Amino acid sequence: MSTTAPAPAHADHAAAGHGHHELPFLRKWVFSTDHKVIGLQYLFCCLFTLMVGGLLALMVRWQIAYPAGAKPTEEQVQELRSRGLTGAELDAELAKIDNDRPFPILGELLWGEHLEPELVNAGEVGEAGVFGNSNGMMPAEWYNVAFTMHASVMIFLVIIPMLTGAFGNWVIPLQLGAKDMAFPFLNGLSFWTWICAVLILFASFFVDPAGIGAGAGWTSYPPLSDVVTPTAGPGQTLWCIGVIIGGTSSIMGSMNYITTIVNLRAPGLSLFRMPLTTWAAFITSILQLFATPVLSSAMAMLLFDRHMGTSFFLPEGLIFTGETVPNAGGGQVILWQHIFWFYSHPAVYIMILPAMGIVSDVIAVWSRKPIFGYRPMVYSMSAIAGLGFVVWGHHMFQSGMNPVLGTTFMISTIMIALPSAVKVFNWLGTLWGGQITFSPAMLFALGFVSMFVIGGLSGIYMANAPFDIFIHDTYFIVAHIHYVLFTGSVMGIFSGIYHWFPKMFARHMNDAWGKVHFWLTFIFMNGVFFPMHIIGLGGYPRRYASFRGYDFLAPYEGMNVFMTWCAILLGLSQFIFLANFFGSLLFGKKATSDNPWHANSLEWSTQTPPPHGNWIGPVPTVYHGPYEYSNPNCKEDYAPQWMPMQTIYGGSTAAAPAAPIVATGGTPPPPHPAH
Amino acid sequence: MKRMHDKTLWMLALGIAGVAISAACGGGESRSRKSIRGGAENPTAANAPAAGDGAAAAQSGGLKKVDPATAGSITGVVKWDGARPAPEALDLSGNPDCAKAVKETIYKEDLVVNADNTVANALVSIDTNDRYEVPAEPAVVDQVGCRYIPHVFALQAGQKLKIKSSDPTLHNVHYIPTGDENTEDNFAMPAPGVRERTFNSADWIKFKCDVHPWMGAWAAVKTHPFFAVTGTDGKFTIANVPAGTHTLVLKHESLGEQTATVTVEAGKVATAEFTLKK
Amino acid sequence: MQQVRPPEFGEAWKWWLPPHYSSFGDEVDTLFHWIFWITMVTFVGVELVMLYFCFKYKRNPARKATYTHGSHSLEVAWTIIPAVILVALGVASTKTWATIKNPTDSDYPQEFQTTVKIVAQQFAWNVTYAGDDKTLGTDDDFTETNILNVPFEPIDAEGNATTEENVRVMLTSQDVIHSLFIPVLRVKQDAVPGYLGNVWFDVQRMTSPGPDKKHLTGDSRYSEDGRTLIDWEESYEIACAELCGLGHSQMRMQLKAVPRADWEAWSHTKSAAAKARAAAK
Ligand code: HEM
Ligand SMILES: [Cu+2]
Ligand SMILES: [Cu+2]
Ligand SMILES: [Cu+2]
Repeated sequence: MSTTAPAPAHADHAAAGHGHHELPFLRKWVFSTDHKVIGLQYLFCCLFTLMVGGLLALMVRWQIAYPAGAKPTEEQVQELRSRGLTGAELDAELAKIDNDRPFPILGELLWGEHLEPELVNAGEVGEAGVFGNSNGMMPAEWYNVAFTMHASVMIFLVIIPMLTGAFGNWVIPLQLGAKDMAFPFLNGLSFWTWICAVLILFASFFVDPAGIGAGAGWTSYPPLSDVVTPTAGPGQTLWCIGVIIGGTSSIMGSMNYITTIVNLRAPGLSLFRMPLTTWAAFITSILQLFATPVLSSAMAMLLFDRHMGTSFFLPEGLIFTGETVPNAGGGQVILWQHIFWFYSHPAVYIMILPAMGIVSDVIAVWSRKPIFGYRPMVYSMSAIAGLGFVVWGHHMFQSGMNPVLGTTFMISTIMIALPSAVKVFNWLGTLWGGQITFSPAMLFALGFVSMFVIGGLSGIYMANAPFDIFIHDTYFIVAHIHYVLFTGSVMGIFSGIYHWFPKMFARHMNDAWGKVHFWLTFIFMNGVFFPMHIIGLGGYPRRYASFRGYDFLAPYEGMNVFMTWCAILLGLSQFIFLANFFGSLLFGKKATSDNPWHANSLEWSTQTPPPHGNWIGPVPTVYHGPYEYSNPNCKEDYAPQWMPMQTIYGGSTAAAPAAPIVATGGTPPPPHPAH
Repeated sequence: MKRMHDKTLWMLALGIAGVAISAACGGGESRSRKSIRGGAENPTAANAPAAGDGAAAAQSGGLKKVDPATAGSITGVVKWDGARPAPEALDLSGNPDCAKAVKETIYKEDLVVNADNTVANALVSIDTNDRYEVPAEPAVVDQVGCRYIPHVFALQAGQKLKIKSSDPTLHNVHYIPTGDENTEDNFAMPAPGVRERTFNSADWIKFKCDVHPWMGAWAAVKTHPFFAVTGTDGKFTIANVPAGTHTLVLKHESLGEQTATVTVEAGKVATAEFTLKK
Repeated sequence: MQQVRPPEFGEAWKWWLPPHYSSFGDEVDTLFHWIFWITMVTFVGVELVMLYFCFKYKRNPARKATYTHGSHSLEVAWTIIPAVILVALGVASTKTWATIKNPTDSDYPQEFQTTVKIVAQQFAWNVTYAGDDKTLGTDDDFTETNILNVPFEPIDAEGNATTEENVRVMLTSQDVIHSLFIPVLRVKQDAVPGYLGNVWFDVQRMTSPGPDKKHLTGDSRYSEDGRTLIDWEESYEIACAELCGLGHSQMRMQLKAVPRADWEAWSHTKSAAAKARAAAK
């Protein structure tokens, strides 16, 4: 394996990118090819899409807690009885009671004025909203749109781009000692392609005159997503296109990361000296590169089915509302699920591996310890990635797939829990004997570890095919998803933001508010997601617009309301983060050091914020691994990768990293060896 | 070189977005049975009405109006030939909500023969494409006790239709036009409420609730107000019909169409009779 | 016979799995209990260790962090031990899986006393019964909407079935994918258009009261003291578990389990009527 980057690439880039002319504003901040600017563009856009996805989540939760058609409560009936009402009189009074609650603030704006039952009974219709008129209450068809778009936004527009786009872009070249990505132009193109995907997915809400967007779930199983019907019209088409375009952006990005990591590592930075964040990005990119084209082709087939008369996914004799669907025949419904999950299972690891990388780095820095089992960490990530391609059938246990295959997928899925377990044990090992500081970054990383355990363990219930019969497509799955993706990936993202913020913006975020943000988030997220296990065990099916009418779901109304209010509080807590983030950006304490956390990896070696081209002058040389914390041979408890061990044995490392920020220079790089 | 990059980036980005959006909206050959929602809505008076044959009809804003002074009316009965088919009761025990809401037994409604051997739910109308003034008050169809009431109804093109639900259980209203002009729709009504829709062209539209498969209704959309639906006595009356000779059309959801000719004289009542059988 | 719906899902069951009335329900729940305890121990262990480390190794300038890059033997241990447990769990589940989903591949059951065909549609279940001749696809078949009526399997106080009453469902859909979910029987199977799926189950009911391990407080199939079995028509809810459109949440069906004799009588009446209708046409 090559340990040094090919010199010509560096030379080339230095020549091209460092003429030191001022770039025009648009070129510098909008259509930039600088990986750091692109990373921040992703970061800011993702914070925005996160708010959209969050709002959709609250709408979904509100609908589950307060679906239309609420009956009068016991107390209300008692109250009327106590007024001496009986019989027809009582019924008349009961009919006047309105327990339906439109979504606060937005409900009436989107779905029309909410009228009293008396007016409704008289046949009155209120003023229409943006999406038509359903008495201010979210209609069932829109509920399907809400959870479909919530998931699509969170997956394709928040977590994947945040982890690979924002952190991948911003961190990787810096940790590698590269002056930029291997293909800076492709990098910019990837971002703008992603922006197209954002616009198209958002447009899918509005293209149908009746206000129905894509509503077949993020998994979009045909025939529901395939046959054009009033509830799967242009919105669904646009959704498919948006996903293809988002995928294209991912493919461009992942090729770029792979090339960069393979070719542009600093001198001395062998693969096994790379920090785990970069390792995770590397493995994730490989997953993305192999899996995403599969998704895109599935989407293309779906589009052909919808609009060009093919029949990839439609069997013969489909009857929709009494009429045979033309052109249907010869297709296989289950084919879609195979293709889709062949992508989407790896995709769930695309959404967690980078967070695992970030968390590993944060834990090492904030507990002043080398990563326990660095190589096992790398191997387990690779194992997750490899096994990730042979477990997709665990989403299809009840689909009618051959039951013998079910057994196979059960065993492979169980095996994939192993590397996850190994990672958790290694994180614990890293904490052991450490010097733990509970900074916001560290709190979120610890939160990640403790909550990822729940997500991983609940995976075992579902991997068990016979028991999955009962919990498949219930809230248990929803609990699992959110324990890995929200309390996992999203906490990883927060951890990374708190950790790298000073390097990104040369200011510090407020620690105290960061801790408040952590604790509120931690408490409320458990309040939202933990009870989902319980209602899942009760058999509460997912994607239900209403539990009304079911005896067996009635007992869960209280828990649903509880989860909804926790979700609202969870949402509100994030404003603390936003205020902290933007406040610190403008008024935060100025960073006085290039390496405030005394960390080892290369991003901390350059000036703050890193200049165009990342290092002024040649890139640093790497002398050892990234996790030399608390080495007994060193006086300090850290040993930066860019300092030769000999110079810091018994000496002080302080000189190099803690140099003050100088307008022109920054940290003088150590002398460049050989070439 | 750098400049060019700028431009390419712009153009590629815009290009991709443009292609995507036009592909989605323009669409290709679509698989839907009928045009899906989003097709052109015909404005009410798009087709200028041809000069009518009804001598008594006055024009108003391109739409005809009936002059009561020159109008008569048609009445009649729809009879059943043969043994009265026994009504088939519906078993609602699979749908506890409906079972709770419905007090008495309900029956299948695709063919209702009254006790006096007349046929209910038959639509009788005059065959004309002339466009007449649209009444301001809406037509109403209600969902009560997991049935559509009325089961067969007619309204005018451009007239408002109020679709009510009086049931505390979820119905979805799925209407499927048999003509090509109006567009299909499907929406849920989870609680008592009202929605409004307007159909702009003559049509024969099936309404159904997919949650309660027996729940169905038929709506006739006409360009004129000369229609009536038979009830529990099998009788129909069409009032205020312009004098002249008209073709009377009977339409029944499961027995098809029949026609008859009637001549209406001003101020008089013309009669007609239909007989249906299996 | 009382016409009451057992509140088996009621408040008493809110925090846990609902009771199960099929012969394989017990196996499924046993697996759940194994997984539950294994994961609980792991969960509590990991969290406690983590909390302990957090307190013990809080930053303290008086101390130096332990310098270690890991331990080979520990890595091996915590890979092998979970691997063994997990694989054992997997292997232990294969039999139950085959019993439920692939009965021809296991020793149980060999025979189906009742066969029905269900065609799902947006948003209802059409259940076709074989009628008097016990053969599907003949004139005396009859179809009910949202009613799955089957004979139950009587079991004695020891929990042994006195007669076999296995029900086979041929499951398909005419439009989109639906999923037949019968919580109390631990049954779930997608109804896939273009594909005829197979599901089997039995509904077990005690015919005499006894010390039944399934008996829990709140199960009102029993009298207050738990000694007497109340006789009633049992009816359970069936839900659609795969997103199928805007009426997804309202696509439900009733499962009724009745004594064989009652079922025969019901089936005969319906079948005769269907035959008469077919003849009239
Ligand atoms: C520890 C190892 C894990 C195991 C054994 C596991 C197992 C499973 C299984 C069996 C299912 C299908 C359940 C069903 O539909 O019946 C599932 C669903 C899912 N898992 Fe995992 N999982 C693991 C980790 C993860 C991770 C790390 C992520 C993401 C970061 C993740 C995300 C998801 C998602 C999003 C779904 C639901 C997909 C859907 O149906 O919408 N899982 N998991
Ligand atoms: Cu998976
Ligand atoms: Cu209905
Ligand atoms: Cu369904």
